[in-house]
Order: sequence, then structure tokens, then C-alpha cells
Amino acid sequence: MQDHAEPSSNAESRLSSRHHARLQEVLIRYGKRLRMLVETHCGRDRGLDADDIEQEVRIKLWKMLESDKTLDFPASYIQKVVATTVIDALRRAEVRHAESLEPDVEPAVDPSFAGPMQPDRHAGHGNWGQLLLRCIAELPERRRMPVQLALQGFKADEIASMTGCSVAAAQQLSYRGIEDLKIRLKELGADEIDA
Amino acid sequence: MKSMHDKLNDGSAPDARMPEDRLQSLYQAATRGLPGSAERRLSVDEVLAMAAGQTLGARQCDAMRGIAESSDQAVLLRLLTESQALSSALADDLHALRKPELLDRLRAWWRSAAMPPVFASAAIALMAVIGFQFLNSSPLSLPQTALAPVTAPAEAPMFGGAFEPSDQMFAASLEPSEQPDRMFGGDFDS
Repeated sequence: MQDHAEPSSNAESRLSSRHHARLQEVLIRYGKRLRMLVETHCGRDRGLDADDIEQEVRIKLWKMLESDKTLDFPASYIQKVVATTVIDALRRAEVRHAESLEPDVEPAVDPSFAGPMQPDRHAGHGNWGQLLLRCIAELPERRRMPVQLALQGFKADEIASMTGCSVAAAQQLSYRGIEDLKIRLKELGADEIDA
Repeated sequence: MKSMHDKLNDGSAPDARMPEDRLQSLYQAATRGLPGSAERRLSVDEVLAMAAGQTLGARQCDAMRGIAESSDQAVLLRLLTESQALSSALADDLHALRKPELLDRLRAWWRSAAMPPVFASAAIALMAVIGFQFLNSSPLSLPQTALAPVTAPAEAPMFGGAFEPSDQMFAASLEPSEQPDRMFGGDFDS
């Protein structure tokens, strides 16, 4: 019996290694395209490493494929793996970002400037962000959400489908809202902002 | 000391031209992390549903605000929306790769039935013999018994009568009669 088992196991291992190679090939192809998407949408300024995310997703999927050979993988499961991996990466990036800001917590004080909001009395970059948030809060309600979504990188058609308005309305509301925002920011001291 | 003008140009403030992408990066940096309100924080399933184009019913309004106020959630939603087609393609590829082939299924069945490989060989040989015999038999040749009536046809009396000149089936005489036809006064005879 043992004599028969050996060639059979060899054949199986040959089959299995060929199968593994094909699986790996599929996952590598997927990983490359996912990395491009991460680079496009998450950007380097968020502190996310697209290579890390790609590798992590690939490893998670591979482990699941190895652990249960009969399990089918619907697209929603794959999406969930991507989502949890990106969330973890965002949390890690957030911690790194917070740590990197710690030495700069003390704001640079510039007594020469006495503008309306005096933004340089606080941490430079963060303060401009706060100023921007305040200006957005002053926008009319119906323009606020389209402006916020546009600034988060959504296009007019995406804003329209999320808010339930027409594409033309989403485009108009976000455009006018951003123009108002620029004008308001100029009024508040960023006088060289081009409207 | 830096003047406001310098600050506007060194990246610590909105730059001189403030194009929209500059505003975007400033806003996204200002809205990093999760929203302050717990109601506006989305679960993974909620983000996945939104990415799939579904609405969240009563939660939709809060979810929208959560996306608008948190660049982390917005980034996740954008990425998941864009990777929908990619994940579907991967799922199809994996399904095709993991679907067992006929040989694998036979092997698995045989193993589960605890049959030794020698029986497998015997079964395969038997199937081959049956298949060979089946292929060699001509589908057009009829059995011998079927040919017999063709070679020796029997004369069965169908009507129980003969078609000789003396046949009286219709109670009429078929012989040429010397008597002229009298049906219509006898004018039909030439």
C-alpha cells in the first residue's frame, strides 16, 4: 500500500505546487493593481505605504486560502480584507503623525502679524486647517456638504449619488461654495489667495 | 521672523495661488482621524455598503456627514469604491482556480470511499474495456433474427380471396361477357 501511496503523493504535490503558483500569480496581479489604487487615492501625504498595504492584503488572502481550501471567496470578503487593512494602516499613520507633531506643539509666535484671525499665533499648518474648517462652517447649509465632499476628493457625480441631487446641482453647489470659501479666506488674512 | 507673506509661501499656510488641490490637502489634513461624534463613525460594513452604492436608510445622513468630516473615512470609501471591480475580478479568478477539476473530484471521491489504488486501476481498466466494446459495435447492424423475415417472405392471404378471373368478391363477373351492358339501355357498348 505504501508503494502506491508514494507516486500518488508526488503527483499531488506536483499538482498542488502548480495550483499554488497559479494562485500566487493571480494574487500578485491583484496586488499590483490594488497598490496603484492606494497610491492614487491615499497619497503619500497621508503616510500610508501602498507597498505595505498591498503585501498585507496579499498575505491575509493567502492565509485564508491556505486555511480553508473549500471556502469560496466572494468579492465582498476581499473588499472587507482591503478595508480592515487600510483602517489599520490609517490608525498606524495617525499615531505616527501625532508623534511627529509632538515636538512642534509649541506654536511659533509672530508678533509682526496682527491679522483678523492671527493664524500664526498657533501651530502654523494646523491653524490654517482650523481656519478653513471655520470658513466651511459659515457656508450656507446646502453648499456645505457638497463643498466638504469635493474637498475630500469626490467628483460631482459621486457627490450627486451620495446626496441625491443632480450632477449639475452638485457641480454648481460645490463650485460656488469653494469660490465663497476662497473669498472668505482672503478676507480673513490669506490675502494672496487667488479666487 | 517670518512675515505673513513668507508663511503663505513656505507651506505652513495656504500658498499664494491656493488652487483647489491645495485646499483639498489642507482640508484633508484638518479632518484627519475619525469624526468627533460617535454617530458619524462608520463601521466597516457600512463603508462597504456605501461603496457598493447602497444607502444606509436612517443612518445615511449621519454617514454622509461622517464621510464629509473625516478624511480617513472618505479615503476608505473612495478606495473601496474604486476597488469594487478589481475585487470582483479576483473573486472570479479564485473561484475558477479553486473549482476542483473532474480528476480531482474523482480522486477525492475515491479517497473518501477508502478504495485502494489497485481497485482504481481495475475500475479504470474495466471502464476502458466496456468503452472499447461499445465503440466497436456497429449501431447500424441489426440482429440476425431481424434479418430472417426479409430473406424468406411468407405469402399471407390478405383478403382470403384470389384475384383470379373467377373471383366473386364483388358479386360481379369479371370475365368478358358476351352479353351487352344493359345499365342505360345498352348504348355504352361500342
